[in-house]
Amino acid sequence: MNWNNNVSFADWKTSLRELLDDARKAVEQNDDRAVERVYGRIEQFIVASDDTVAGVTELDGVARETMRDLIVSAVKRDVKDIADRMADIAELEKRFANRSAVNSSTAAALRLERVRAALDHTTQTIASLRALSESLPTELGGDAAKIDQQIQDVIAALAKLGAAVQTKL
Amino acid sequence: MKTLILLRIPLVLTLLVCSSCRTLPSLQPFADSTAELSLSVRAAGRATVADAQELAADWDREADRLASDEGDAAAKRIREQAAELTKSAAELDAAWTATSRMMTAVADYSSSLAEIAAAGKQGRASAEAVGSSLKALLDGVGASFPVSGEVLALSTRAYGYVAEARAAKSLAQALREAQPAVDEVAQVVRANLEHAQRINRMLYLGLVTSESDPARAGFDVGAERGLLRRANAALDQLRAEIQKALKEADPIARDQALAQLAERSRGLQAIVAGSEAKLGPVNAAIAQTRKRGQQRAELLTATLAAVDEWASYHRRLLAGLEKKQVPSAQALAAAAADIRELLNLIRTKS
Repeated sequence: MNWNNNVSFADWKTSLRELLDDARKAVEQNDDRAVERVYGRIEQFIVASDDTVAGVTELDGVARETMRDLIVSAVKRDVKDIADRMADIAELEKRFANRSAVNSSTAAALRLERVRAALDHTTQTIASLRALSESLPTELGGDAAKIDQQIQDVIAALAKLGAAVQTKL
Repeated sequence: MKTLILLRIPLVLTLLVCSSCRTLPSLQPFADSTAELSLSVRAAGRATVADAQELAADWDREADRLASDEGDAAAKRIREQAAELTKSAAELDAAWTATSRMMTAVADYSSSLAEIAAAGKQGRASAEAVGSSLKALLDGVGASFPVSGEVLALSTRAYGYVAEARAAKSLAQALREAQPAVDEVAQVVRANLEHAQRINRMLYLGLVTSESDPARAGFDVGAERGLLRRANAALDQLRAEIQKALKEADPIARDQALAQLAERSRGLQAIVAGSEAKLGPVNAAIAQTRKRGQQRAELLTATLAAVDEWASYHRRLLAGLEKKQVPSAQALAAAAADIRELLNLIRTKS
């Protein structure tokens, strides 16, 4: 498109109308490269247009509005395409979160964490029970002996647990 | 005899599982690269949202200028367009936040794979820790440890090989089960990044145009460019007239013509120099904005390439584990390094 020969308002108006037609076609065809090209040509039109000719300043205003419309409609369309995938994305996030939990559990099992936790917990329980047994008040009399026996039975049961773990290992 | 049997079992296990020795890769580089990729996807989205908000703000300023110069009617349409762009920026922010959360889950998944591989390699240490816990328990009940230190050492070493083999198997299963989701993630993220590339190109057309807005420049840039263009055209015309005057046969007439042309030339050159000086900062700002747009585009392109490489590596890792060969993560690490460099460049320059 050559504007060098444009002289009158009618000449400039015709040039702008052709550009607006090209812009409309580019948007309808969803041709983003064509949209970018016509944006550039409209910008050149504004720079080249002779605003000493009456009415050309208003044509420049129409041109600027069209440039902004091209940006708004292109961005809106691409944002909608991204937003339309949100449900799929949320589902994928869940799938990966579930898979991570399974993998971490597998790793913990490989590290024998649960076995260690059971053994450590049992050791602590035995230590607590021993402390309880040693701190039983004498005022309890015969009851103290009964309680102490029960504590010893529990300790023996926990020791069997340790033996069972040892056998398993 | 019992001791001999106990000794033999770990040795047998060692022989049986040694075929899978050293096939368990360290997946920490893969996990680290995935974390970088996740950050890059997040940063790319944030930058695009920020650019859309900046352009909407530019249009609002333009509307303010027009409202004060020409009245509210002139500004109305620009404000509507700025509001539409702001709305799109908010929608993009929400959609990209969801994408970023998904990528965080993907990064966590990659870390969990590295966790399996690491647990497989730490088998011996894990067995030793269990041995210590068991000894503490047996000490607590006054029982002695049932096997000698030598047998214990063999057992823990054997578990080391068992753990590695189990980890390799678990890893292969985990990768296999996740592969369809990995392919879907790559497809979705690629599509989103391609849309972001298009959005980026349109926004930067607008941001570059905004640099010429009179509200920002402080003068009518379009009018000044028009003046410069006409002055340059007049200078070209003058040069042609000077060439013609030089061919004048009458020396007095020639000298008079040349003196007048020189006077006009000086006047035009002063106009050109003045316009160029005035437009200098605007042109520099335009160049800077174009450069920023180019950096954004490079980050999006690099992130796209990294997503493809990540999905490809996951597939090669699965195939490699099944063939007991570990693929190199070098290309993925290089892609992650490219992204890191671009992100640093954008952070220091913005």
